Amino acid sequence: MRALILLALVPLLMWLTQSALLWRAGRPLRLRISSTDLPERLKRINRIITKALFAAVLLVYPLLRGESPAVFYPPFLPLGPPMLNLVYGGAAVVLYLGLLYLAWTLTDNVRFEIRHGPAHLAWRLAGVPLTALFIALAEELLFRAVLLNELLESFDARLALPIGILVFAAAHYVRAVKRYWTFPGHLALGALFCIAFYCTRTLWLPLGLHAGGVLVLMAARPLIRYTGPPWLVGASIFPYAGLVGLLALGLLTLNVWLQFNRSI
Amino acid sequence: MSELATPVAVVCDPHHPAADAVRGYVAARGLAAARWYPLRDIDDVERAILASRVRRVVFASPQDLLTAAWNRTINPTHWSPPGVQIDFADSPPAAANLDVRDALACWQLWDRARRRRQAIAGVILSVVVLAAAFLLLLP
Repeated sequence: MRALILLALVPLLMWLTQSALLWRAGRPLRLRISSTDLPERLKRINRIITKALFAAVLLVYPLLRGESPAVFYPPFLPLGPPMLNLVYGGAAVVLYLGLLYLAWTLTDNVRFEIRHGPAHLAWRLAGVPLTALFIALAEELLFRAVLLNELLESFDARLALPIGILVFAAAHYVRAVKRYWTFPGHLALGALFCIAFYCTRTLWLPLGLHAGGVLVLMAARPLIRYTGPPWLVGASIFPYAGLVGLLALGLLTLNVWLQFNRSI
Repeated sequence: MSELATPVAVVCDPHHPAADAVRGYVAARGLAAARWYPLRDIDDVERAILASRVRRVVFASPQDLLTAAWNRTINPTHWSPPGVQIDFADSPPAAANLDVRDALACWQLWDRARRRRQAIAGVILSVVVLAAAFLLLLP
């Protein structure tokens, strides 16, 4: 339960940090975790502290287990043949998303539309691969290596997996967001990554799936406009939240299950 | 009967909700000899206008003409030659000069239908490509 407790502490500490910054800025405190109304300088501090909290969880958790981080994490990223799962995961996601975008472009539910100057666009796109890898690695370490791994050690998979999926999805809504109807999409995404980890017990496959997805979505964002209905194409950075996206995630999860096959 | 027989064309489907109103309009103006075209053959009417075989066209409403333009079934510039009269059975005589709000309302109706068709096509094609991706990734 150490992982769950540590992760539960994060939103609490985020709220305390936010409250301190609001008080410092002379603004009224609020219950929701949201950085609106904060001056830009304090928003930046808030962001740094939030990232530091997650990094702290990654550092503290192995110590609570009596292991150093340098000993705890490497087994989740073993060198050798398992590394190929990173490529499989990335390629599978690119295949699904690429075909979906093609289908939506052909039916004018998504339009190709460059919205930035060439220099700005190049700058944005250049940063995408590393950003995708960093985001995916941080989340996989946190939600699979730390949380799901401990849940699987403590409980039967039939309980561990749903908890892992739910916590992953809920973590994306701790901070106030523009839309909440995308929650089923995050549940489906969590299911994909958790099943991938469960089947392989390493991070390579979920990392490939996760990084591949973030890569495609971030690369597409400055180049396309979603013109179709949200129930079909999801919303902006969440194309997997629409009905078709949910179906795609379900099928990909089934692909992963059949390919790496492990019985629950 | 030759396509050249009459200079008046009525563009209206026989089962259009306003078909009776169009028949009444045509009869009241002594245009009984007008040739009727279904909406899907509006491009035939355009060819007839360009060949100066048709000098007057009657529509049920501006929606029908504008929809054809937005669907790129016709070229709007071909419908403006001098001497060609366009009537809308549901509107007063001067209605060829459409209010912008009327045009926007027409566009909204057209866009709603277009989006519906695109969404249906999007769902069908999405299911096809997802099935393809799933099958490609089967072990």
